[in-house]
Amino acid sequence: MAVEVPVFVASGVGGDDWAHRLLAAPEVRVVPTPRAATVLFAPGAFPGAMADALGSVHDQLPHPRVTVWWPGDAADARRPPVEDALVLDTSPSGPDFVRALMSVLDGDRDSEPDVLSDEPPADFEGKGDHGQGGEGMMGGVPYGRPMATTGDDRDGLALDRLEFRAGPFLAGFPTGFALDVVLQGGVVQEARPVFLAPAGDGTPAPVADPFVRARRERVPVAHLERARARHHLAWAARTCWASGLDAVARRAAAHAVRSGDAPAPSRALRCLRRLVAGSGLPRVWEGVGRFPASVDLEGVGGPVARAAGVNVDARNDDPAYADLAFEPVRHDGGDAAARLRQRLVEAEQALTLAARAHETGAIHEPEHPVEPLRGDFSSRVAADQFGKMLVGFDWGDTVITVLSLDLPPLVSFRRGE
Amino acid sequence: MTGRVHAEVWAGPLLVSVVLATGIYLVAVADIVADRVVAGRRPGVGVFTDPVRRAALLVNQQDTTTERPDAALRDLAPATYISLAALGLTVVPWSSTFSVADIEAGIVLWGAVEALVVVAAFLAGWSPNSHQPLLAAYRFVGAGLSYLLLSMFVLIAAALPAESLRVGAIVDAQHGLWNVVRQPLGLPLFAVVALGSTFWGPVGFAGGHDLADGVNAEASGPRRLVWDVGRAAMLTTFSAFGAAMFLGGWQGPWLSGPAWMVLKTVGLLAALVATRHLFARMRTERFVTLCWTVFLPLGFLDLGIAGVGTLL
Repeated sequence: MAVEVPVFVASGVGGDDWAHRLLAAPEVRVVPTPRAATVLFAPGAFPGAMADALGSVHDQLPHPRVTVWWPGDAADARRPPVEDALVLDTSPSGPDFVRALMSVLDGDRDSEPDVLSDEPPADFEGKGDHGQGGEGMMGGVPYGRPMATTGDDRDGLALDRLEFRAGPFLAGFPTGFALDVVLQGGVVQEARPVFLAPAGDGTPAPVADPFVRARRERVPVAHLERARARHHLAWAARTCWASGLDAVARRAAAHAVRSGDAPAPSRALRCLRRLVAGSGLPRVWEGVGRFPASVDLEGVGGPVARAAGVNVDARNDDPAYADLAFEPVRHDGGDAAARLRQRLVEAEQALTLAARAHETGAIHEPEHPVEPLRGDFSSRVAADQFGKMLVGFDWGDTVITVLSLDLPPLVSFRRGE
Repeated sequence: MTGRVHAEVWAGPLLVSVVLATGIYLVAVADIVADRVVAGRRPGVGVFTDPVRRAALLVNQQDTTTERPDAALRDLAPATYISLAALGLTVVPWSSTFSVADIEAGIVLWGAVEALVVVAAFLAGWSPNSHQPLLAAYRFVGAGLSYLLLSMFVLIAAALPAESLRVGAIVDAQHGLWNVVRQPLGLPLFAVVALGSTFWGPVGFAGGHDLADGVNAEASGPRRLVWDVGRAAMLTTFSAFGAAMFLGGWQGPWLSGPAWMVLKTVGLLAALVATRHLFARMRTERFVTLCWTVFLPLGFLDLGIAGVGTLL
């Protein structure tokens, strides 16, 4: 039976590369809420707090449900807290999910039981006449969960303050990243980034990554640039999906998967760029997510800096690129729209460079720095800085900002301001 | 002619049921076709059976619940929404002699339907007792007033040439010149209202992947299916109403009146469905600004054009 399998993706440590590949699989429909899914796809490792978060998501899937775990390259990857998870021993593909779905529908596998106990995290602490916690009819922390109380917002209106944690598996959030937020009427009043799996938590970097190899050995420029194109197209796919453009996301994901086979920019890629531009997504993102002036964008580097007009690109000084007619691309604005345009142009440029490098045989030498895929946020952006940047944003703008930065998995910002 | 035929009492509910059932299926098929074409894939003949498979999968799923939802409102919200879709369809004439309820104040009834959609959507966000649905409901209501006002001006403008609020009279008044020609701003602005009221595409504020599917974030199994059916039904109703108000309704050469209504409704339906795959959802703040600084002035202009046209 041909059916699209509704899958919710919860990426663990080392599993962030799989979200866009699933978008390219015709047998799979990636859904934004676990309540709509039958299969929970959990690629990567799930240490500590990530395991707790995954358990919470798992228990929201309706029965019949099945978890598909792909441990990836890490031989000792910490498995998700689902005992009966279906473990893949080869790279996931669409038919794997169809088999998983059919196994529960046909009764070959039992639907997975809950991971967490159905008990409140704390006892109810009643205060008022009717057992309610806090002040008057509202507020307090009944069952360990903060209830909304009214408070003045920036305009002096007394609105309910909703306090909750968003992520780590929300659409567009990088692996291990969550936000503790206080919202009033949909506008962020307070925000604090939370890092559930700080880098170095026992997960080795993927050795096959050309950007990792380029630090210690000679790597063909064509490999680097194809990987760069693949990365930016995968980001475009995840971004379009998180923005509700499911079909455009699938097209971008297919390009990302195929970019290794078709090294030159194609008419199809230009069609993708026109679709993205025509969707209005760049116009929607205009004016959103600019960093404050206190952030050192030159230090951050990467597409985020170039999207703000900063001329910083390690390829400028790499002799391997001198013969490839490389010119760094920059945009003005420094907002989310500029970052979107920047990455789409850089993807096309990367494929052009890859085609030229393939003909000339250009080699990157390890003594020259390699231009990273993303900027350096960990040492250049403070957690408080990031949190304060989001204050006053609409929730949608908050997600756009996080999406546009393409934060690396397991990102953590420095302390202080 | 009042546009009312003396029919058996069951004819009205039967017509509404058949139209909505057909429309719901066509929305599902069109949605899949648009998705695959934009994604660069061939639709294939499976598009005609895939909606049935999806529905079967949802029926087979557990209807999960959150902790301490407002259970009564949680059931009332989708029931209200679907009922409003059915109610709105009753004022649409399907031929020169037949409609379910071509009342003298058809536009007023339609306005009430649109306003109550906001209530149904907010209840859907309120009732699960969960953050994402509530925030989506806030967002929907925050933007809703802007396009509901727009709807008023656009529909009054369409009614002016007929000098009547009865939908059948508005269709009759388009004999020889459809409203989409003499009031070119009307249909595009009405499409904005349609998309907002069905949480669809660029104006789908009650949904959104950034809020884990918005008001439906906690809906699973049959409850999710009911909401999908409800939105498809509302799209069908808006398309049929739009066909009557702006595309001349049942009027057209060679084919029968009902055949023209069906063709025009399906055409409008396909266009509305496709927007979800072609256009990104707007930011709430930008949309509200656009509504008040661009769309509403265009609505006034549309009303002015209609007024001048009526006087001449």
